[in-house]
Amino acid sequence: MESDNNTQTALLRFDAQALERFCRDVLIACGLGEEDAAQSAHVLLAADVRGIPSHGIGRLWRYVNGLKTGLMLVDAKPETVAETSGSLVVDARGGMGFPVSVQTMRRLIAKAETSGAAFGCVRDSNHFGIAGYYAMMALEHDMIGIAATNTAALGFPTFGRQVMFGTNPLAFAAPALEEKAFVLDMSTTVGTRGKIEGYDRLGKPLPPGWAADANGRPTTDAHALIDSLLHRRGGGIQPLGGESEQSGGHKGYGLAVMVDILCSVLCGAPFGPQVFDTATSSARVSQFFGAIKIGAFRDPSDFRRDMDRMLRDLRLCPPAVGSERVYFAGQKEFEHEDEARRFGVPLYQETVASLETVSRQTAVPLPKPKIRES
Amino acid sequence: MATTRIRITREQLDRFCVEAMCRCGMTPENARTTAEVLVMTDLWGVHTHGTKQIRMLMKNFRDGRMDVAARAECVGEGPGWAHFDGHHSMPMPTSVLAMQTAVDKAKQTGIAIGTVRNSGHYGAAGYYACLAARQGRIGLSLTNVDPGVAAPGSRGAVLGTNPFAYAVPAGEEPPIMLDIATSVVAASKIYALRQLGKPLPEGWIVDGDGIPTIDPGNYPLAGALLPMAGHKGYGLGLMVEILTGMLSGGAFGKDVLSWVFGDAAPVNQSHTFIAINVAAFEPVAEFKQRMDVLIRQIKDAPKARGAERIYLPGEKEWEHREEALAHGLDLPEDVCDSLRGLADDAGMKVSWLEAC
Repeated sequence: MESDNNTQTALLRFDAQALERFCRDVLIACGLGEEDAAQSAHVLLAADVRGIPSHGIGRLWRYVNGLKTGLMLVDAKPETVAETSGSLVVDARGGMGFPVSVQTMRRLIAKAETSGAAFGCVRDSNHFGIAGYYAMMALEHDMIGIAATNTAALGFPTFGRQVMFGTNPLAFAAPALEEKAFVLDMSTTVGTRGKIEGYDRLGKPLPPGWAADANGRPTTDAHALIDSLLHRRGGGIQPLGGESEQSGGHKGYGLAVMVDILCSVLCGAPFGPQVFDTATSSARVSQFFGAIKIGAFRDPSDFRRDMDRMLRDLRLCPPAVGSERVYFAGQKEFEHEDEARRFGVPLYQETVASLETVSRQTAVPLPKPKIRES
Repeated sequence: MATTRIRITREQLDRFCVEAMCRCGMTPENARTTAEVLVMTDLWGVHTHGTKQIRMLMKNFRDGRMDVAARAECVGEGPGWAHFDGHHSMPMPTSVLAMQTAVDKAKQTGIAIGTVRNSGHYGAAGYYACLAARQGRIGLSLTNVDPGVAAPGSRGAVLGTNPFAYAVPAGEEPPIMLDIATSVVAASKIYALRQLGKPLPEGWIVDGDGIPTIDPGNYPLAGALLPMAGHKGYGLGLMVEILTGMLSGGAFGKDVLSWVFGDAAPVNQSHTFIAINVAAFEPVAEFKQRMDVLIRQIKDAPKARGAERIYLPGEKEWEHREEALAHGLDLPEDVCDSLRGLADDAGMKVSWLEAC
């Protein structure tokens, strides 16, 4: 997942722990239990620390609103609906997406310890932040982690023009040694709503090949697209790979449908166009998690050493003429994390403004910034 | 081009393939399993990965890239996993065994994984995913391949086309099956256009400097395929590499060799098969009914301007299969050529093949 810093300006840096405490206290003030609030704050901050501000604390106001209006239920008790030694279906009962996701991933990791691998679903849940967070929970257990979620329908199939699935992100994390880890966290559509909103805010046209209007014609008008999506008039975001089979659009479409099947069809949750937001509400979504125990297949330290060799070879491979570096998924985020831990978490001015509003609403004081950058 | 092309039945093709492989030293059982995989692939219309490949696979035995006498061995297993060493035996029987083991284990554990190392070219990834889907599982099938794909910003290939397939059972509708290379296209598409002397669509390959080009002239001596959708497809390709070569303790990256080009050395591909038991998550009947709804919803959705149909992943393949089973298989010239060559190699005379 890339940061969307091309669409915003001006940064303030905050201490990560102070921000996380603020976030936790705000959620407690909204009625959430202490542990649920702490887990939620930790996931939200991880996004900012890793350089994915579209999914970070800038969204805190949405959760505050969600909890206040009852879209997200503060006192929901997740219920286990189905369980075997290597699988799990949990009903979140409309509660916050973060804690139930953390708890489900933990249970799957424990199951994978004996079963070798474990997959599970969470239904009737809410937005869970960055998918990569949950996939990465597996790393310290010498496991490979997988996480995915469906979202409100925003993407349309190859040759179609009406939304049939969400931006359906898929995350995959595998541990290394000195190279830390491989962490893939990507939407299965070309762009996401967060990014399209970013273009709209700045009045910039969308990149060509991102979207189509209600007639199925290519469009670069971010504002009209958002309006059309909100009122479900047609149009949407292209699947990953773009608009034609020639560019591989049918591959992204197939992956988006796979995420929808794993997250929702598999556990009896709404799927496809039945998942949608309105001007005043956000859709209940469902999630999919997996843990694979490396030690079932081979010595985990050998695995980590081989991962180092592969990732280092990629990082150091000869760049194309005109390119400077070759990256692997997660590398930029780890570099961002190092910087954020050292100099503070960078927040855009408009994010800080939204936090000030939240601070006033909940009477939780916002910590002072460490550094101001331009 | 042949104008008097005859159509053959699935049984004719199957019988011929089994006999040819037996004559090349394979056991009848392994020959039957391999023929089943490759004939099914032809029925789907995916002829690049069908029976056309048998001749080269038999040559892999003669060249020492594979060992006709070798047998796959289970080198480790537990409640939800099994780990096989292919010992460079024919990959199709090994792959069927690994997927079937995962399917069986998933009955108890909900999900199970089978890995295979020291294998070769296993044909179409989708076959094994469908093997699971036929038994009420969601099936995933992945393999690494020798490097042919560039990373965004790299000069030269760093990763294989690393295909990925999944299949999901439905009720009245045929299963969903996606079987994709994680490069924009498979290398065979580049060769096809190069043979016709045609330029490539933009975004398919880079040249020897790592710069995008539409000229297939120097491929594959210089240049590389591009990953699908840039950095995301590159990430998916690496995910496949990690789940196959890395997890199985087999070869990865440049230690995976071509099954067609280069020195006649073991291919060293690794495969991974995952089976998710639908019944552990939801009553199967309900799941299948919901899959039908998902499929019909997409099929019936409004079409883009100029488009007539929206296809589900795998829909074209199931239609092709139905047509081929009803009216016979129409094999392209290159497949017939390869099968005639195989018949020669195996010392067989096949009348329908002469007329094909």
